[in-house]
Amino acid sequence: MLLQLASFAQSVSFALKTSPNINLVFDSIDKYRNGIVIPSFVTLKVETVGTEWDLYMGTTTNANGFFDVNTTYGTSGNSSVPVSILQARVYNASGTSQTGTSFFNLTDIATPVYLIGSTANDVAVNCSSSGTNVAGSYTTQPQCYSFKVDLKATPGLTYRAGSYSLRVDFVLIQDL
Amino acid sequence: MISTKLLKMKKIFTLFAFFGIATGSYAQLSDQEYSYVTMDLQGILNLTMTNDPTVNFSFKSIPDYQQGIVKYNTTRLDVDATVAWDLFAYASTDNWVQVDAYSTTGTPTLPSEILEVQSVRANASAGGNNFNSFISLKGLTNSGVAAGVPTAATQFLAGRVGTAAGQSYAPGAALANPTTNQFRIHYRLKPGIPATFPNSTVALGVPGFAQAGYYYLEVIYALVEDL
Repeated sequence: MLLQLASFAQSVSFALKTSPNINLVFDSIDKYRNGIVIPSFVTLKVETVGTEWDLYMGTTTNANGFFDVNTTYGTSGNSSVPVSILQARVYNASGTSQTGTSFFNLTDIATPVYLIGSTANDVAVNCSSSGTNVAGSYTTQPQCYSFKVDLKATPGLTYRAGSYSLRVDFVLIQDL
Repeated sequence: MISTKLLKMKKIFTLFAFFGIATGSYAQLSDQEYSYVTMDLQGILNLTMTNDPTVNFSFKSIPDYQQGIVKYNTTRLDVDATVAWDLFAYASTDNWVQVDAYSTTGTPTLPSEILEVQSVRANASAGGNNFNSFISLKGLTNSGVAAGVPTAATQFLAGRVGTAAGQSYAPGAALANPTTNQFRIHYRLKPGIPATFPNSTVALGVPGFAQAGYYYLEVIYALVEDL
C-alpha cells in the first residue's frame, strides 16, 4: 500500500525564488503622468509533478484593495491609493498566460487574477496552448512553465505625496 | 446477535477511520512567491517660465507717455504640481531701482506699484487680491510677503491664503490642464504727462512726477504648496 502511494507522488512548486523588493520613486511629472515600468521584475519557474495546477496573483495589504501607508509628506490629496494603479503583464514564449500580452490591473488576493486555470476544476491543457496546466517543468519546457512578469505603476496626480507599500503574491496551487 | 452488530459497527468505524486518513493524504498542494513593492510619491512643484524673462519698456514719444505701453502675453508660466498649490506675485523691492538719471528734475523713487499686471486666467479662488484685471503690482512691504510666505495682503494669480476648500488649485500638469495650469501675463506702464503714473495705488513723492532715467524692477512669481 505504501509503495502504491509513493508511485502517485504529486508536487507543485516555484523554483529559484528571488522574492524581489521593488522601489518605485516618482520624482518627476513625466513619471507621474506616464508611469514607471519595471520590466521582468520577477520570473516564475514552475515545477509540477503528477497534477494539474492553477496560478494566480494578487496583492496583500492591511485594507483589502488599498496600499499600506508608510508615511505621508503633505496634507493635500487622497491617501487611499487603490492597488489597481499597479498593473502587471505576465508572459512566456508560448503565451500560455490567460491574461494575454497586455497589462492588467492588480486586485486584492481575495479576488485574484488567474494567470492559469480558475477557481473550478479545469480541463487539462497541454503545452503549448493558452492555459497550459498539465504537469511539467520549466527545465524541459520553459516556453510553458516559465513566466516573466512586468510591473507598471501609474498613480496620476490625485494621491497624497508619501510612501506606500504592498506585497504582490503569486500562488501556484494544485487544480482540484 | 448483539455481538454481530457490534462487529459490523466496528468494521464501519474502521472504514470511516481509513477514509479519514485517505482524505488527509490529498491536501491541496501549493507554493507561493512574493514581492514587496514600495511606492514613493514625492511632492513636485514646478514653475516654468517659457519665455524671455526680461521685459523692456522704452518711452520715447509723447503718445507713449500719454497712452502708456502695454506688453501683452509677455510672461508665460506653466505649473506642474502633484500637490495642492497657490501662485502669487510681488516685487522684490518697494521701489524701482534707478540705474541712470537723464535729468535733474523729478523724483528718482518710483514705487513698484506703477507697474500694472493682469493675468489672462482669472483666479478661480474667490476673494483675496488677484490680477484678474490690470492692477498695481505690490512692492515687497505692501505685498505682506515675509521670508517667502504670503499673507492676506498678497496678490494671487491662483489660490489664496488659507487651506480651506476652494482656496487652492488642485494637482495637475500644465500640458493636460491648460485652463488652470498655464498663465499668460500682461504688463502695463502708463506714466502720463507729467509722469505721475496716475494708475498707481501708491503716489510718487515730491515733486510728484518721475525723473527721466533708466530703471528696473524685479518681479517674483512664487509657487507654493497649499499648507
